Amino acid sequence: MAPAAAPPDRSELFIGLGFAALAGLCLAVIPRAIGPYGAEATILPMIGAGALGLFSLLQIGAALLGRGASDEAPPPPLAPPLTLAAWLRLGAAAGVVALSAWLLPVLGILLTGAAMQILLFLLIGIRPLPAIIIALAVTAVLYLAIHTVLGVPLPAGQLW
Amino acid sequence: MDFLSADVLASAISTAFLPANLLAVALGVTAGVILGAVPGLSGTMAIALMIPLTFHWSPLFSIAILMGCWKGSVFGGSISAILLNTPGTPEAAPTALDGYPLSQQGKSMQAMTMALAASVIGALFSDALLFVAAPAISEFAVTFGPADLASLMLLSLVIVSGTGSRSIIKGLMATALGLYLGCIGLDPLTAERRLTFGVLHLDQGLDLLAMTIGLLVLSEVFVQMREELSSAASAAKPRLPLKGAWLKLADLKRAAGVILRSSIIGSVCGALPGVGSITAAFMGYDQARMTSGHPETFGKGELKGVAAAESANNAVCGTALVPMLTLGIPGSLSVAIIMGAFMIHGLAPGPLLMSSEPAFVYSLFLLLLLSDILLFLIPLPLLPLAARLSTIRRAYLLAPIAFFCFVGAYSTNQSLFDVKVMVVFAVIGVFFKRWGISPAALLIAFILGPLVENNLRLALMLSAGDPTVFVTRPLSAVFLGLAVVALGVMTFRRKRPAAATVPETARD
Repeated sequence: MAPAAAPPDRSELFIGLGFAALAGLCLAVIPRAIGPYGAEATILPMIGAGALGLFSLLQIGAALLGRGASDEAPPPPLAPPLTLAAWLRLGAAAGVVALSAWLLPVLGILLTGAAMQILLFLLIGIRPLPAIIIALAVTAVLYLAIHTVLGVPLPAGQLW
Repeated sequence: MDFLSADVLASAISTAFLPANLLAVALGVTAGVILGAVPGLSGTMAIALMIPLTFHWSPLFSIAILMGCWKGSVFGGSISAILLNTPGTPEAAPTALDGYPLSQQGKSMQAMTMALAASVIGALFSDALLFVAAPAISEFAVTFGPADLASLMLLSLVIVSGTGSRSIIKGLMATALGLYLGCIGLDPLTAERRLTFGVLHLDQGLDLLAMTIGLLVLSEVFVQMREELSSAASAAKPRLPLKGAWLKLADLKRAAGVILRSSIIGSVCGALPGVGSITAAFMGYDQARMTSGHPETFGKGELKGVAAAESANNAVCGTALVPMLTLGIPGSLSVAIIMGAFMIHGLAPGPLLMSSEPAFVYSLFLLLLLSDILLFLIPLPLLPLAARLSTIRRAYLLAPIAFFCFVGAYSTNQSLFDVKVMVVFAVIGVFFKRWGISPAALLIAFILGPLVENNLRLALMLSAGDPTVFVTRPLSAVFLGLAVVALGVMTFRRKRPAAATVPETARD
């Protein structure tokens, strides 16, 4: 008796579709993002985007045939599922990091670094007092070591 | 062509043994052992975090620190593997198989000193091979034409695509994306703006270090934060004490054959693109078990198991530099980052490096050999501290590492734009890890992309636009044929190697 066909692997299909869309976007922007004198300059971008498209189609095909994981080892064990509160904390942590990148020109590395660390510590579940002490200590030590001792320039903000 | 003249040797010795360079190696090894001992901080992450500190130093000082850090971290991973059963780095995973049972038997110091001795022997063996092989390969490689180099790089890209990701297709997708991203910036031959969308910051392309830190380090902060936040976040594991007698010379003699064989395996794995130290460690461990007269003792506290894994994973470091120094091809993520450091310091790894900078290269070789000696001397007094650090709660490390990422991404070009690039690539890195896609393939393709393109276009120019040059030149044809064979083998291979069993988050 022939083995039953494997059902499509939805997560693998999603990955393939995502990359196919990305490949389409990459191909579409090439004519507009390369100047008139750069015909040769389009060769490698075209190869890269074309290959991305081709491989994502293969990924889609493999997922539809249920072979998305045909040459794979079992995926590594994932961490236990998160509660809604934990997801919110993780999302907030990502937001804090992203916001810090945009606030760096305004607040400078000292204020941004200290504030980001305190918030991340609190979101991970460290108590406020240790969070503040460690964040301030790490910021000060790294600033002194990297900027003052090693002479590596660090961003100064408008406020500090 | 003989790269090693008396003048070059004298210059290399006088440069390598400058106190500052010796200090660099010592600092690198110390930092590597400590960072490697902390679970979750891989050697690759340690190197990526160290690079920003080296911008204002001489190239040799900087590369010496990074190499010392890499070697130190590979050994450092064994500390938590032996005491906690939690490998500090992924390549220390097989060390834990016998190291932890030895600790449970009260022989942790014996296991630790065996790990140290085997690491040093493996590293020395590999560096000696590098010393011999690199000049010979360089001499051969200078005869390569652009078509040969382009085909060789294509072969490397194919091999790297097949490792690290959970399927070959995903690896190829990451490679294609890396090639595309590598095109951003000014065209290398016509200086035409490509894919910059009018953003001046992109004229020089995406910054390699910002991408690396985002893809590897900051994304890992989020992955580990998720684990910390999970309801079953692991409580601090009890650390077994450092105790028992040290390694005896008789133990070392008994394991000499295993160490030698594992050193050979590690050295070969290091020289092959995409294989890396994790596979080497598992292969070394497996050969020790299979060739043992008492394979049943492995996994229950066999000293030879520790010796095999540690000598194999450390033997990767030296020979991994061979393709990078001689051909300009980084075979693993750690080497790709070190290659990035070379480029930041104005050095172009490849066939011409040995002829243009022979004193630098031989100074580096001498410092590598010196780092092996320091790898033996430095960790011994550091063991109690490193053992204590290995139990530190991860939650206390994540925020400072995130801060350090910001500092590192900014420091290369003093560009706030690079910080934003890092954050974007951290998001990409999180998804890559979730989906089982190798960031290594993307980063190596990003580095090799411009080199492939230069050689491809140069070959076409020299052949008056005739694309058959890639198959009519014998070497190029061989490399392309090997690329096809490698792709076929990886496509039809049904099972992944043992390395697939280690966590993907820190794979090299």
